Amino acid sequence: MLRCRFIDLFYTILPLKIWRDFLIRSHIERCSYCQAELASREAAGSLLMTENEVSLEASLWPQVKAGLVSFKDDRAQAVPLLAQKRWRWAAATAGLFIAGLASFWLLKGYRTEDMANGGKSPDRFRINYIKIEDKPAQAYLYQPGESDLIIIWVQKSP
Amino acid sequence: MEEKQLIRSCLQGNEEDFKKIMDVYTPKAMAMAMNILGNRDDAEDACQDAFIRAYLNLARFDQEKSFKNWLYSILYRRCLDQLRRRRRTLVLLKKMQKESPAVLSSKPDPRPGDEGLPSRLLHLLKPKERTVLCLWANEGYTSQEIAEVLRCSASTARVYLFQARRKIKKALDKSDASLQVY
Repeated sequence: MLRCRFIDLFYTILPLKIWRDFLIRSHIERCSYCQAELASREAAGSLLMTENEVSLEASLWPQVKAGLVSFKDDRAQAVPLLAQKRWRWAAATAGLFIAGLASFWLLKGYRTEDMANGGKSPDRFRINYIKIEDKPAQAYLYQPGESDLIIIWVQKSP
Repeated sequence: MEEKQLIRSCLQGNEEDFKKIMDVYTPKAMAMAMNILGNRDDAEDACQDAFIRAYLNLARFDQEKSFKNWLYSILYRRCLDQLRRRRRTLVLLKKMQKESPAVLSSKPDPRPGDEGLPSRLLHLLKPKERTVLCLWANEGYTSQEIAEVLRCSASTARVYLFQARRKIKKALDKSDASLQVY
């Protein structure tokens, strides 16, 4: 009996179901004292509703059948909707792809034109006036070789 | 017709044969749902939903296994859904009562629907424990079979069953003692 109390204490302490199950299988299922602490099948059954006590006023079949029909209708309606949705997505994706392709092509043309001018055109890049501490300063532009890079050097006028 | 034949017939699209299956299992399913939910309307809803899902997913059912266990497993999940829905409604009702007490003058039942449980003692059990107890006491299921329905391990099922039986025994002893006092 003392052992049973210890087992009961362990059962309360142990957090995992698998450990609790070990206690049930190793002791509780075999111990008559512990078994007496559990409700029998008959006692438990007397509290529960059995199939013989269930009075069915009407069969569930009509509702189930209606449920099946409405599910089929929903599915039938859902198929064209799904197809429409897919087409919309396809059209939107294609539109985006075409727009991307067109902008790439346009930008490429612009860049080619820019390269043809060598980016050197004085009309395109010109410094009109530069000041350092509110005094006119000197600016030097340097563009190495064929590159697009322009280095601007500004210094105070002597 | 045998159950397996009926299932095969349903798989071929004969809905009417599913009615025969339903006729066999409806009382059992209703009893189980009533024991879990304690409310006839909810139990009927859960059963209907379970049967609809069973029919729609019949192709997935492994015919080597027990149809009853498979159906109970679906029903158990539908019952848990009903309980979740009930809890949400309760939260909503409480919120409404807090915000506008004039709208709801009467207090919402703290456990709506549970008042229909076959025994007051079943209130002491969690829905899982009620399910396990029902399968064990009414159907004579073993821990392994209960585990199949609950989709858990046999050891977990054994623990639920042990807890349910212990709670019920304590409650029965208490009620007997109080009867002796009066």
